[in-house]
Amino acid sequence: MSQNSPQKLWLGLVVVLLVMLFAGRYVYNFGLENSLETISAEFKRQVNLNSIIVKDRLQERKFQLANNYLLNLGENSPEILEISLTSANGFKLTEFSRAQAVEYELVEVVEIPYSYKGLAKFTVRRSIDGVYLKQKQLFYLYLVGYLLVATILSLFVFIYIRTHRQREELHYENEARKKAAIALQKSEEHLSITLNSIGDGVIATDASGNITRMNPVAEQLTGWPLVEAQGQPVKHIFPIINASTREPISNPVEKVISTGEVVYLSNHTTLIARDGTEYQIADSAAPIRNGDDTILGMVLIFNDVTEAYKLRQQAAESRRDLQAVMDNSPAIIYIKDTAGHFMFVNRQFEKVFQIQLKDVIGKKLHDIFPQKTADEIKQNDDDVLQVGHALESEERTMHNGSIHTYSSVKFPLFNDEGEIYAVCGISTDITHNKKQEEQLRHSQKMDALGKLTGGVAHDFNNILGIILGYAELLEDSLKEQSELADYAQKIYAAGERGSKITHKLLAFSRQRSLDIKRLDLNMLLHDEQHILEKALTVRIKLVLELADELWSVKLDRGELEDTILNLAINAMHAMDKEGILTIRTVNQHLDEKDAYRLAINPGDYVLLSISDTGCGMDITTKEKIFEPFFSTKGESGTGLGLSQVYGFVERSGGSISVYSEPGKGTQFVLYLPRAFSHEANGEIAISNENIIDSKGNETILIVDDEPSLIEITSKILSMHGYNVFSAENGKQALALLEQENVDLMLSDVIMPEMDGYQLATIVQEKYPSIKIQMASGFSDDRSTDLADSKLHENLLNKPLNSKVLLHRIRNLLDQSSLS
Amino acid sequence: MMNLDTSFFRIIPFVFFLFLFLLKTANAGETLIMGVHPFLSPAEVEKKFIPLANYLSKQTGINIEVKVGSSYQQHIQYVGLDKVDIAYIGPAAYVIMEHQYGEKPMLAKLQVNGHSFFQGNIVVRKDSGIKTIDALKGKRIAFGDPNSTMSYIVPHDMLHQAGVFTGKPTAHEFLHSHDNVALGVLMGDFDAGAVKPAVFKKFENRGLHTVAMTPKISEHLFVTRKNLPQHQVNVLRSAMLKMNNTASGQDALKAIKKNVTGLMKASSSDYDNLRKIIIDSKWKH
Repeated sequence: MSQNSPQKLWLGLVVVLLVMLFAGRYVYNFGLENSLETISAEFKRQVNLNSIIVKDRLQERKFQLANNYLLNLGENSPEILEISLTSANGFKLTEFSRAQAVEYELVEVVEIPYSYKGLAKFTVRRSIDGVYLKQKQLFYLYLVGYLLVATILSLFVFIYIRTHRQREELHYENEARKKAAIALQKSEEHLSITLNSIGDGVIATDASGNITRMNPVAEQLTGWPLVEAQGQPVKHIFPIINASTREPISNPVEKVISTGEVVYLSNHTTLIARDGTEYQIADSAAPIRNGDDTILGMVLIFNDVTEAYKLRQQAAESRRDLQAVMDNSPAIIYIKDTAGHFMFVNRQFEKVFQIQLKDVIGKKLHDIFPQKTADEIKQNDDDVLQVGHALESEERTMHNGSIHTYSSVKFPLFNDEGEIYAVCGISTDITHNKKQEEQLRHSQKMDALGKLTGGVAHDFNNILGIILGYAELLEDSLKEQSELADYAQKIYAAGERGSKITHKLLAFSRQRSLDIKRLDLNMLLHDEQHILEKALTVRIKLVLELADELWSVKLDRGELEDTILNLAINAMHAMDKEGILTIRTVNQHLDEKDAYRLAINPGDYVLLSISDTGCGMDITTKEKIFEPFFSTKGESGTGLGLSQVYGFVERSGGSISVYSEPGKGTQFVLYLPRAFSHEANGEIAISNENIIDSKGNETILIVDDEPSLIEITSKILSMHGYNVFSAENGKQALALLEQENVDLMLSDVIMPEMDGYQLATIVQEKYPSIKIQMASGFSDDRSTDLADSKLHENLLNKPLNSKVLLHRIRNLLDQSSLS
Repeated sequence: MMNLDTSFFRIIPFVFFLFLFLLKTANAGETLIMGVHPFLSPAEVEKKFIPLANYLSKQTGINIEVKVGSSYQQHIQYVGLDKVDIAYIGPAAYVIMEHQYGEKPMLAKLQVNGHSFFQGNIVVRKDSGIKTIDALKGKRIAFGDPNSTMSYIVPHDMLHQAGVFTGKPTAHEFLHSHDNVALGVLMGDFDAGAVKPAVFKKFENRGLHTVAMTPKISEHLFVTRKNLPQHQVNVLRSAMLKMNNTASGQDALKAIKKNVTGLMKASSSDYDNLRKIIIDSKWKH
């Protein structure tokens, strides 16, 4: 059949159907006309028949019967629409009509000669819609048949054409299949080449998970040649385990084939090759589908990432270590991008600023810190971004209720292109260090001032010693000349006043000797209450708030009294009008932290607090109040009161703190070390010197680096009968001792090369019988560990009072002689 | 003259009726027969009179059955020969029966629409131009049945008395029913006709016109056989005259004819005018 044959068949079918249709129409018309003729003839016949019957009735004068007959005829003939019988005079004997809408009708009129009066008119009208309806029904039946025939014919033509076309398609398919087979062969070759060229391992399976194809890389990594692996389950050829746990990993083949999803293995996958070699691999498995979306198998693609895995592991470990370092660093570490958004903060940051990492990331400084702080830190960040290298700075932030100072090192972070992408900051809290530095600086300053003051005082003491000594001698010599003796007395008095000043200076410089005793501070305050109230005047109210069972302290009572008086008088001056001075005592144990803050040893302390309601101090004033000669009282102050207090407390092993704000008064808190009961009273056997008969004839060696003092001391001793030798240093003294018998050595402490205690140690060792009396303007601790502690305890303070000197020497010589 | 087939069929019900009558006579005192003339089919007549028979049976304690005569003539004969115990009979039939067989005890007569008498209509076409019965001389006149009181006997006597049949020859024809009479006039085959009032009313709208009314004739009546015990006659009459007083009595009367409104006492003189027409008229047989 040619290609046009189906069209021709369809055309032929259409022609046949059209002919049938027109033929049907013709038959319909013919049938209808025929039926109409038949029905018309029948109708006429029936009307005529009825007219005969009616005529008989009428002629028999059976009018009612005629009427009833016609009415009955009408009632029983559904097609009858109207029957009327009208007499010659126009009377309608019968009037029948049926209310029915019709399309087609027949009318028959017959005249009936029933009477001599004339003709009756017999009219019958009937519907012929039924005829048309019947013909239409026939026509519709024909149409149904027509359609049935048309359908059957169409189906026949359709099946015929389809069968023919299928044959042709089969032919074409065979041709195409041959071509496809050739193309498939080429494709297979191309696929093999492609597969073999892929740098990753490729394994393909069938729907059962058995291997169908492998490329050389897969052969190499698995250790299985394709010929052996083909047909085997993939999990046998491709065993994989978790690199970390060493637990087998379920092979992806089943999941891929069952779900049809692409499966990616984790980064911790280890492939165990046939020979046991392990490879770290990255792989994925995907289903192989045909055109109908049916899964035919799976393709597994993997590559050796052992090296990359190691590097990644190392990187992860490094990152973990770095994270640990950063998280455990006491410094705050943070990274911000160039726009200032936080990219990272360490745990210390979270801890210090009480904020979590997730709440910081992406935020800016101004979202977290107050404006001023944020501005300051941002400026430093911007500086780093601008200069492109590390910068150091100090930054201050507020947290935990106080301002903290941080030493920050900030440096830029560069990406692979050498561009800055972030700023990293490492900030160390140096608040405590700063405070310590400040304390150290202050301590050093005070030490320097002490040394300077001590040096000056020492020299003055020597000078005053000479003045006082000679003034005393002069006074004794001028007993007969009262006026001159009075002059000598005035000189001595002036020397005494100078001695008191040097005493204060030495007290500040902690170089004054102390008269240390165990004291009950509450009792002392009660004893001094009257004096204090007098000193404070009635304007100031004194309030004592003294703790019960207060611990004892071990102090120089005189200096403590001076200290309390000094502080009280200063407080009085700070209160212009009426005010309250409150003195409190309380026991307190200082732990290491508190003690460290106060720069003293931890332990038990008695707190002595002196508070006023005065004008208070600003910070600048507060920083300088302990410096010698600093005074807020102008000409009326010596500037030595608080420095004396400071020196006293420091020398006592305690500490002093000041709390003051302008307008809010001032509080001095003295931390005085507790004296335990087992400790000796420490009372030195220096009692009031009585002027007694102090003369003697023993030999005394005077050792002092100040010749003038040697001279005046020698004269005093000589005048009282003693045999005196002198030496200006230790060496001379030792040399002289080798030649002369000496009963007592009076030695200065502070001397060049060999100090007094060193000399005393040697003398005690070489000449145990020689009594030794030390004298000094200082009370520093030098060489005391070398010498007998009693030497230090019996130390005579310069400038020497002649009476005290003679009494002490006499006592010592007598004591030794008694012993 | 009737043919053989017709005679045979007419005899059958008569024989049957006779059989029943004899059976009833054998059981006299137990059941009375009420005979009715066949103005409708026997079944329709029975349907109309059984309620009355039942009512009277219940009221009097006398069992009554209804029987229908095969023809007017037979009915007259049976009543006249006392072959029925009770009879319902038309006024003309009664007069004839009385004339032939003698007087019968009267129970009651019908009251129709409140009247115990009725009249007939002499009708013409409206467009005929005839205004009086005098104008009917020489015209064609239609009557119903020769035995019909109102479609022939009374109007014919009336026209006769008016002299219609004297002078010009007048043709008349029996059309057997009142409706046919009316239609014959309307069709123009007859110039006038005699019909009862109901038929006139029926065709009045189609062009029928009354030119004269017949004299008043007393209504149909109930009689008994002459030898029926007087106490039964009394009981029956009393029950009939009281029928209108009870709902069940009225229902029984309505069953006979819808417009019957009661039963009234009847006497022989009530039928004198009719008796005169039938018995004394010239056309009397």
